[in-house]
Amino acid sequence: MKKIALISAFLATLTAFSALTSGCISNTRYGTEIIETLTEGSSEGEVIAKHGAPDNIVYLGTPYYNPSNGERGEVDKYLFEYRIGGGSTLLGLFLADDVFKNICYLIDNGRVAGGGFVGEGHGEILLGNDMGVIRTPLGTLDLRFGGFLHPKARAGYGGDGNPNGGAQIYDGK
Amino acid sequence: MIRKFCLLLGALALASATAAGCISHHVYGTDGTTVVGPGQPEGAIYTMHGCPDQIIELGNPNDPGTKHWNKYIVVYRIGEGHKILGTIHQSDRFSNIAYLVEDGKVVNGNHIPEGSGSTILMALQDAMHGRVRAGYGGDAGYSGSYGQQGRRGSAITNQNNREMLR
Repeated sequence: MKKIALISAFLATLTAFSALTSGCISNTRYGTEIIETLTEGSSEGEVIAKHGAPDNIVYLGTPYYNPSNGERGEVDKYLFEYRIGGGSTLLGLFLADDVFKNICYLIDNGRVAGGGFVGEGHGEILLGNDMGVIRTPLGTLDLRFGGFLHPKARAGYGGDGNPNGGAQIYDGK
Repeated sequence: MIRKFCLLLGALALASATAAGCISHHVYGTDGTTVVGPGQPEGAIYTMHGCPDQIIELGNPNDPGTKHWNKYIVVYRIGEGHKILGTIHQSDRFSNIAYLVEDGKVVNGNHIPEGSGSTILMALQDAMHGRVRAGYGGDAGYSGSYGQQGRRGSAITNQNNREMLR
């Protein structure tokens, strides 16, 4: 019984140590800070002036190109996307949460044809610390706590910046 | 001695069973699930739901006079997942919102559930069928016109540091 108590104490110390070392308190919020949206009919320049650099531009058209004479066409309809994401942690992932929002404008022929600031989901974790796997002569202790069930690798968050807005492709290295 | 040994083994088993994740909940995807009605301008879609997850163009011409697509589908994917004590209980659920847009107007669209799963004493990823469906970060589905690397097979390995699995 004494040994069990000793192991329990050891695990508790390990938990506390891991919680403290994997980050104490953090708060983040990244993305444009201007969340009031422009009304329909505003010029596309006003969008840039108000929110700054977009995180993504999605063309709603295929640019015409004639290789025989070099003639090029234009695309006059596209989306300006602004992604806003943030999260907070307390004692590492002992208690962590994140929330995502975005602003999307439809630009048609140089004018705003619709757009809004909308929520895009959230997540919460309790006791999410990753303390690895401990192998003992008696068995294996899996102490990889927590984690979300699904990846948050959505278009626009962590990995975009290319015109497609997708996450970067993992190359296995 | 044997009794103590069994107690220790029991404690180890319990710790291991519960350790792979305590409690987590998430819902990712557009929060606005009220659907824009037929005949509404396409801009109303973006006002209601924000940035789409996928846009699929439908056979538009590419000639000097065509400056944008007249027909395309706008897709929003919504996924949620819940874990209690790691693999003690897991559940997830998927739905999507899709609109057909033609000539700048919504032809039709809806919010449709797309399946759910639940497990007791095992991980969902070990269930009979994979959870990596088209649009939810792990499939090899049609990429559409939006690129969608983040929504195909690459996502599950890229993970954005949020996929801790199990």
